[in-house]
Amino acid sequence: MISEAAHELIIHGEAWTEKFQFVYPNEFIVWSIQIVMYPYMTGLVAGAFVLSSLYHVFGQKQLKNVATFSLAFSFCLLPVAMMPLQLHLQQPLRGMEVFFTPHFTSAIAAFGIVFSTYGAIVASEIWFVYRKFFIDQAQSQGGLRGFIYKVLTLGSYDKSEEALHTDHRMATILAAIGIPVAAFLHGYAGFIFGSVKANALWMTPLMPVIFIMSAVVSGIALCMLVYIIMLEISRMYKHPGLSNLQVKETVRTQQMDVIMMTKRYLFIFLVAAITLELLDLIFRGYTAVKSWGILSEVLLKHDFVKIFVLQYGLGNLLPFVMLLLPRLTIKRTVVALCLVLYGVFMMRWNVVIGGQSFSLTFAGFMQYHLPFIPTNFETFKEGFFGALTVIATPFFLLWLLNFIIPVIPKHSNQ
Amino acid sequence: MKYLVFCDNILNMKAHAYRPLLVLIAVVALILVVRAMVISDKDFGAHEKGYRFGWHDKQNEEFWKDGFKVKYLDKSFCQNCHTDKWDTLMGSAHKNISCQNCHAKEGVVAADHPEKVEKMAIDRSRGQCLRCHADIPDVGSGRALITKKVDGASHPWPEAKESECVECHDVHAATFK
Amino acid sequence: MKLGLGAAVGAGTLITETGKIIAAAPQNDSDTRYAFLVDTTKCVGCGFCVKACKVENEIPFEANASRTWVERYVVMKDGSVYADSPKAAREGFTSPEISGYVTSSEGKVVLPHGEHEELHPLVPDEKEISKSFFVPKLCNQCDKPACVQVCPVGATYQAADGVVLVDRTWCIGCGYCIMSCPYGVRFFHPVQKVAEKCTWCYHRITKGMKPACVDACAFGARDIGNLKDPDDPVTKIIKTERVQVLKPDYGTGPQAYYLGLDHEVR
Repeated sequence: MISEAAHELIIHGEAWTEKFQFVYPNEFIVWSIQIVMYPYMTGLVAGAFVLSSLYHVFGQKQLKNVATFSLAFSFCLLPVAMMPLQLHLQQPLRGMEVFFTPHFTSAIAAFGIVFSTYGAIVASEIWFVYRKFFIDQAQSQGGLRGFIYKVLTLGSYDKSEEALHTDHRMATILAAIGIPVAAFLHGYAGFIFGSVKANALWMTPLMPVIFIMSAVVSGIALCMLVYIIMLEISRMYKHPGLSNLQVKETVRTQQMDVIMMTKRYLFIFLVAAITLELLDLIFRGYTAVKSWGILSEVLLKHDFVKIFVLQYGLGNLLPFVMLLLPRLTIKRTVVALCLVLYGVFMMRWNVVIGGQSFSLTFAGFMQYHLPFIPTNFETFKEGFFGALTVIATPFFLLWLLNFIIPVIPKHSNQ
Repeated sequence: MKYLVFCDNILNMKAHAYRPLLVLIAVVALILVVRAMVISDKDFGAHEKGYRFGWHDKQNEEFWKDGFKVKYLDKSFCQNCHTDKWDTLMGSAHKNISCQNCHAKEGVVAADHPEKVEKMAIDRSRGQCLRCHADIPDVGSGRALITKKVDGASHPWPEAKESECVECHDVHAATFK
Repeated sequence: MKLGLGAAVGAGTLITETGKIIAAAPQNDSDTRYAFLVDTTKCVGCGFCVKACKVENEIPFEANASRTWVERYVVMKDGSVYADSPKAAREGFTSPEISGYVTSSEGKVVLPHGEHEELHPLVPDEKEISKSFFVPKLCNQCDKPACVQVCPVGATYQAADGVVLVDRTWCIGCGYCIMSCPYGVRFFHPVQKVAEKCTWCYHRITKGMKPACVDACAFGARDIGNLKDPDDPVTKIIKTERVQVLKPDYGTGPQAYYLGLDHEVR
C-alpha cells in the first residue's frame, strides 16, 4: 500500500504510464481515458442532433419518430459531454473560469463557447417541439409534476394555431442553424488535437474533418440503435385495442423503416471518415518527415491490431458489409451498429492514446495501462469505472427525462 | 420581396418565440455577475505581450517576483562565517563547487541559517561524490577532464561499496585524510 | 520601426526572433529580455543543478519530475544512439548502465512487449563508444510560446521580460499546455495540482541573482543573461559565437541557446 505521503509524489499520469527507451523525464500520458470519452460523447451529441435535423429541415417524413427521439437523446447527452472534462481536470472547481476569462487563441476556450451555444440551441428546439405538450401537462396535472411543467412552459400558454405554427417555424430555424453549429462543434474538437504542433500524430489539417465525419457516424448509429431498443421496450407496455402480435408486427415494421431510411446516411459518413483517415496515413508514409520513423513504429507495429484490425476492420469494414448484404435482419443491424459505435470509440482511442504512445524525443515509447481496479480517487475517475460512469449517465438521464417527456414510443390502432 | 416576407414573418412571430432567448440572456447575465465578483478587471487583461501571449492576472507576476522565497544561496553567503572552510576550499580542486550542493536542506531557506535553522544538512552519501567521480564513459565531454575516477561498486575494495567517501577523504581540501 | 541593422535590411530579409530582440527594437516597454546559455561541452552530468532546482523551487526530491534535467547521450561507432535521463538526473549519472533500455541475451536492444525471453540492462561496450556527452535541458521561455497560446483561461502567460509563468491560483489543470510544449518541460505539480515548469528562477533573477541551477553548476555549463544589454557576457557570446537552439522548426523561438549542441540531441 502506498502511503498518503508517497501518493503526493506521484505525478499525474505516472500511475498509468510505462516508459520505454528514451522519454523525457517530465513526459507522461496526461490525456487519458476521459479525454478519449470527451470527443466521443460530444460526437454522439452532434450526430444525434444532425439526425434529428434531417427530419426538421429536410422534411424526411419517415424519420419523424426517430428524429424526435434523437432530439431528446441529444439533450440527455449534453450534460454528459461535460462530465469527462470535469473528471479529468486537476482543478475541477475552477472549470467555470473558461467562461470568465476565455483565452480564445486556445481551441478549448472557443470550444466552451461553441458548446454552450449549441446547448442553448438544442434546449430551445426541444422547448418549441414539446411546448404544447408542456402546456397540456401543466394544465392537467397538479402537485410537483404539474409545477415542473408550469415552469417548463416559461409562462407561455398560447395554444392557438398561430402559436403552434410559430413553434414549428422556430424548431425548423433552430434545427437549420444547429446543423452547422453541430459541425462546428465537432470540428472544433478535432481542431483541439489537430492544432497541437508538438504532437506528430495529431498535427494535421484533416483532423477536424475526420472528427466531424466520425462524430456523425457515431451519432446516427447510436440513435438508430437506441431507437430500435426503445421500440422493443414499447412492446412491454399496454396498448389498448391491439393484440400482442399486432404490436410486435407494428414494432418490427417501424424498426425496419428506420433502419432502411437511416442506413444510407450512415454509409455516406462511414465512407467519408475512413477515406480521410487512410488519406492522412498514406500522406504521412509518402512524405516521411522526421516523425515518420517513430510514427510508423507506433501505427504499423505497436498499434497495428488496434488500428487496422479493431478500428478499420471490426469497427468499419465489417459493419459496412453486414448492412449491405441482402435480407437484412434487425438482429444483424443491432450487431452492426454496436460495432460501428465500437469503431468510433477505437478511433478516439487511437488518436488520443496513440498520439501519446511515443515520446517527444522520437526515440522512446509510452504505454498506457488503463487503471481497472481503482486504488484512489484519481485512478477511479481516470480509469475504467470513471469511463463506465460517463457512458451510463445519458441512459440514466434518458430514464429521468422519460418522466417529463414521453420518450418511449406509444402505439395505437390507427 | 422574399426578404421582406421573411422579416415580416420574424416580426409577426408570436411573442413566446423569444422566451428561450430571454432565458439565455438571464444565464449570460448571471455568469457576468459572478465574473464581476470573482475577477478584478483592473488586473486581468492582455498586458504587454498582447492577447495571445499576455492574457493574465497582473497580480500573479508579483507573486513570482516577491511571494516566492529564495532558498538556495551561493557560497559567498557561507563565506561570511565559515572562513576556515572557505580558505581550505578555495585552495582545493573543489573550489568551484557550491556549498549547498552537499549542505542544502530540503524546505529550508538558507538565509534562515543560523538564526532559525541551527544546522544545515550534510549529505555524506557515496552517491554525492560519484556524481562527478564515477567512472562512466565520457569521451568527448567535459567529464573527461575530471582526472580522479572510481568504480563505485569496488572502490576502495568491493566490501566497502556502501561506505561513505568522507571516511577517508577530506571533501573541502579535496585530499586524502 | 528602427532596426539599426544598416542598409542591408529590406523587403525579403529574414530576421529571426533573436535578431529582432538583439537589434534593440523595443517590442515592449521592458528593457530586459532574458536568455539562457548552456555550454554542453562543460557539462559533466553531476546533476547538482537538478538537486539545487528541487530545493529552490519546492519540487519534492522523490517526485519523478523536475523543472530542469540533464540528458546523457552515448553514440556508438556503429551509429546507434542511446540516451537517458534517470530520474531527471537528480542523482547524477553514476552508472554506465543506460536506463530505459533492455537487451536480449545476444546483446540486441529490444522492447520488452510481452516477450518472456531473458532481458538484460544495456551497458554499452566502452571500446565501441564513439562519443558520450551530457545535455542540460530546461524551459526555453520561447518568444512565441505554444503553451501560452493554448491555455484556455489565461493562467499561463509571458511576462514582459520574456519569462513564461503559471498562475497557480487560476490554472484549471486541463493539461493542454503540457501537451503543446514540443520540449516536454511542463508537468503537473504533484502537490499544487496545477501545471508547472521552469521559470528561470524568476524570483531570483528579478532581484539580480542567478537561477539556482546556474549557482549550483561548478563547471560553468549554465548561465543567464539579458539580450537587451549589449555588455552582458551571455549576450556577447550569443552574438559572436556559433550557438544553436533546440527544435527551431516548431517556430516557437526558443531563447535557451546551446554551445556544442550535437546533431543527435533530441
